[in-house]
Amino acid sequence: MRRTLASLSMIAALLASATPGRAADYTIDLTHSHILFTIDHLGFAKIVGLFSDFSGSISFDANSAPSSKLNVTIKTDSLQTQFAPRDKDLKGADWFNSTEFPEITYVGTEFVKKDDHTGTVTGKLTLHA
Amino acid sequence: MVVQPRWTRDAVLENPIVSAALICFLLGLALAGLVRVVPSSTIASAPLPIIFLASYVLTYQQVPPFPPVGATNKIFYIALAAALMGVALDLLPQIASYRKLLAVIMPLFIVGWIGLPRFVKLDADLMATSLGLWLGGIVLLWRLDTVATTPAERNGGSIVGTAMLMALLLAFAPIALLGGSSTSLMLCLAAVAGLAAVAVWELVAPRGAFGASAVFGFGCGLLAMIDTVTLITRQVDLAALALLLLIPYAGEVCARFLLPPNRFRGRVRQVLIGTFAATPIVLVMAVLLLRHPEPLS
Repeated sequence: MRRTLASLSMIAALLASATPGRAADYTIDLTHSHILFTIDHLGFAKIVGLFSDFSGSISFDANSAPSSKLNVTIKTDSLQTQFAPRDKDLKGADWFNSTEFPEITYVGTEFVKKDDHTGTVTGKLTLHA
Repeated sequence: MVVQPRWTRDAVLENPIVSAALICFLLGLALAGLVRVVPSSTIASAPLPIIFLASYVLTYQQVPPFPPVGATNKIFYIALAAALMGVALDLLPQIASYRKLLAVIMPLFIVGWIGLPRFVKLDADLMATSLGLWLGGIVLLWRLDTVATTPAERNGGSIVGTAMLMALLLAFAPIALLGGSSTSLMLCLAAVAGLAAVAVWELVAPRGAFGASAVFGFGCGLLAMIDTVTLITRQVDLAALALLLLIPYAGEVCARFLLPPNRFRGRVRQVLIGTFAATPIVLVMAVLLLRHPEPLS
């Protein structure tokens, strides 16, 4: 299943907390990075969840943002929503199916720099593949 | 901010489980009524596998892609393929003797296909669970097939078979819920509603809606769902799951002790045996409550 996430502003936070690797290449620092999501619950509450295990690399050129690269791999079994029965369900065969599909990948395809500190990345999120 | 829920009729109907169950019940009523117009025993058992497939589509809100991606997609195609095999068995008397062979092979195929991603790393637990699922699947399909080919006077018949499937679904629903598959709970309840409609028709105007397509189409779909929750979601309570094996025999055993052949006959006998088949549900619930005293923690 392939899905595209537009305007994934979360990546901006990743960029800000990345650890330098080479000149403009960075690896994502787990200690200072987060992959969070929210689920709307019947319109009156939001459930916050996160993936605690992921890795990735960012190649970022401040002078030429569109030529940047981003690859993230998320371990589906690391999902947490602060409610064990729901986590069990979400990791199960009906949803993320961590047994058959242990990884989600995200590849940045479009990089737009807003100012010196923020930007937007559009990319392709692939799960169940 | 605290919002008080309003339990209006619309709110109940908006519940996806209620609406899926209602649609399946109406579908079951319509199909079971329609097959009574056609004088064919093969057609008579068609509503059951169709109800299972419809329950699947309503639950997952899609006809899965082919080839299937993941175990839950495979459930649909296993039920469809098994139903078609059942139709062939119903239509061709010369291959009817293969019914029992199919009851042995299909559970093995289902365990193998659903569990395939896990078999790359075999361990003792996985092997024992897979073997249990295979043997349990044989027992279930074998017994369903026996009921399908046995007259009411000898504790078989369509009402008994349909009731047995309903009991299996109702018993598996809470196991699935606690086993990390609320979606399977929805599928079970929707399918039960559809089967209830077929049972109503069978009571009012018996048509023998339990041929090989019903046995294998519905039975294999059910097995695929059980195997998916057990092998892929991997949170199922195996003790409670094992108790499902009581259901195919509960009706027969109770009938031998409680129903003298000369006292209860025909549909009354079938209804009573069907009701007895549901008694292990109480045991399943008791085991789940004892082993999961705080299911929401």
